[in-house]
Amino acid sequence: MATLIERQIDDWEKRGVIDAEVASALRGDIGATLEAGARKGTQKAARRFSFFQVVAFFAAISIAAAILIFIAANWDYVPRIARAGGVMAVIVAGYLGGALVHARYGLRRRIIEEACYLVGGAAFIGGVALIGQMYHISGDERDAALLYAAGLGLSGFAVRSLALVAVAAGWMVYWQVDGPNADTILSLQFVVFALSIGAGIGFATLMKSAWLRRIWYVAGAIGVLPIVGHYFLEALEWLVDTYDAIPVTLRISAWLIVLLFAALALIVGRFRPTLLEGLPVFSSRRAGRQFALGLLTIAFLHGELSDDAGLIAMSSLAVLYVLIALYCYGRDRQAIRYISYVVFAGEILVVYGETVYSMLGTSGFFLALGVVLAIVAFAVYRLERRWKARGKGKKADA
Amino acid sequence: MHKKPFLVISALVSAVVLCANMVWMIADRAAILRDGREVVLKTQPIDPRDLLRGRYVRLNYSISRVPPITFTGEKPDYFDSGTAIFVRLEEGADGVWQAAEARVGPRPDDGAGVWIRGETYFRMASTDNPANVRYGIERFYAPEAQAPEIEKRMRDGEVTEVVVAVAADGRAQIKALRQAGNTIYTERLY
Repeated sequence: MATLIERQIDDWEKRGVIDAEVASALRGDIGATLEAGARKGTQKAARRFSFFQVVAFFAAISIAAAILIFIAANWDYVPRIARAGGVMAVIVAGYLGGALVHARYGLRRRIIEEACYLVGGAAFIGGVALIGQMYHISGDERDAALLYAAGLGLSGFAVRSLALVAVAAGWMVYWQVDGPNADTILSLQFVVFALSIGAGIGFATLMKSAWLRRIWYVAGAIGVLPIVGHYFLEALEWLVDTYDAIPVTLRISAWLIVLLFAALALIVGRFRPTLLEGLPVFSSRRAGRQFALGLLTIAFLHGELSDDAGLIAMSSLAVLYVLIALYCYGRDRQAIRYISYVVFAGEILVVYGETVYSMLGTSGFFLALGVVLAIVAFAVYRLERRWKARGKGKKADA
Repeated sequence: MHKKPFLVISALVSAVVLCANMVWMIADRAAILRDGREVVLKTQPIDPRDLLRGRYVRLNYSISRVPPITFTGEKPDYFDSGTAIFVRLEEGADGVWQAAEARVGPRPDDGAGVWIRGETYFRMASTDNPANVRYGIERFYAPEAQAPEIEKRMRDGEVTEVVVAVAADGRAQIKALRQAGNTIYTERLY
């Protein structure tokens, strides 16, 4: 994929404005600048978005999940102590791997570094859950949440991982809201919670990460909610009752129509902007809101269709919607791109969590999803190449 | 922050601390299993399932409700959620252990008795009604391969006895399931 300036150089060379020597010197200079920019971690390095890469990535995740669940379903044949040892090996690999990625690549592979830490942190959570299961510990989920928050939060401080500290915020909120003293400020619980919020905000400030700081502000706000929120909760209850009074089929069909509308709006706004010009809801300028509407709908539909077949159907629909959004705006809108990734990962987790008792079935679903996505990725790859070739051909003609 | 000083060391320490935490949990539980006093409790199982940890059977014991008459020593006017309660267990004629005495507060220092540590789990306005107590042994996670059969037996009420190991500090740990005196499932140490 050539950048604008590279294409310009091609053009100059072709028209004889500059000779071949100058052209190649210029190209070399651009390459060096880009690399230097990347080394410094600046945004200048052209961020290339390929729908093919994304779908291939999704396929890889699905197949990996299928393998993991297949192993999980047959775990009884692995001695328990070996399982715990394996989990610990993953923890060490995650944390050390992240640190080594940082040592080797610095900020250039920041997402991979964070992903390594996340894997390590997730393994810790899984390991504690595993021990709970091994010894039938019925202790409080709240205690476990505090352990997770402390484990991920403190290790996140240690390796300066934004992702780990963000996850810790979630566990901390759970610990606070679920606690017996959630609605009193004069309690040890609230003091601990407030201190942890302060630590999180302080860390985010030190790391100069605005989004992490915002997450901790929100965490603090949610934690305080039970204290100020009796009326809020009552209003919420009334809303829920009213919603529940509507017949189920009506709710589902209404949400499906909204979802269809959101998907259509995305497609029309992106590819046929002139078709419905008079209607601003279809405009590509509203893409963010259209996308959000679809996600909201998916959330509600998940609430309606939560049993086996409905869940699988709903998850497939959600993945399809996310793929449509990525196809339309994955390249241009960073927010849509990343939220789509998160939703996809979330769908996998939901399906896994809900159908954990029929693990082989779940594994089969992921395997099928992975294979389908791999086929889609291949098709998209061919299409992208063909478009590119055609684009080049057109330029050559002109 | 572009530089992360001491990163590899920090990562190593983090991983070691997290793993040490897991090892400590395992060693702690294994110690209760190995050294704890064995008692047999009557149980009625209730429903299953846990999102993170797979399936389990929720157990309710005859000692889960502690009648007011068993309380000795000082007693508050009401039970807050999370009040620590120690219950002394005594073996009955049928081999099943029952609550013989209960105390609010720290473990009584009488040496001989088997005291199991529990906590109330919701606020009770009066202490004149039986106290609802949890001992941390209210879940049984069935191993995947044996789960369906054990769960079925438990729900049919055939499994009615749970062998529990009680540590010196009062913490308890499920050790085995029994059915009419025969052990049908024994927990391994590790």
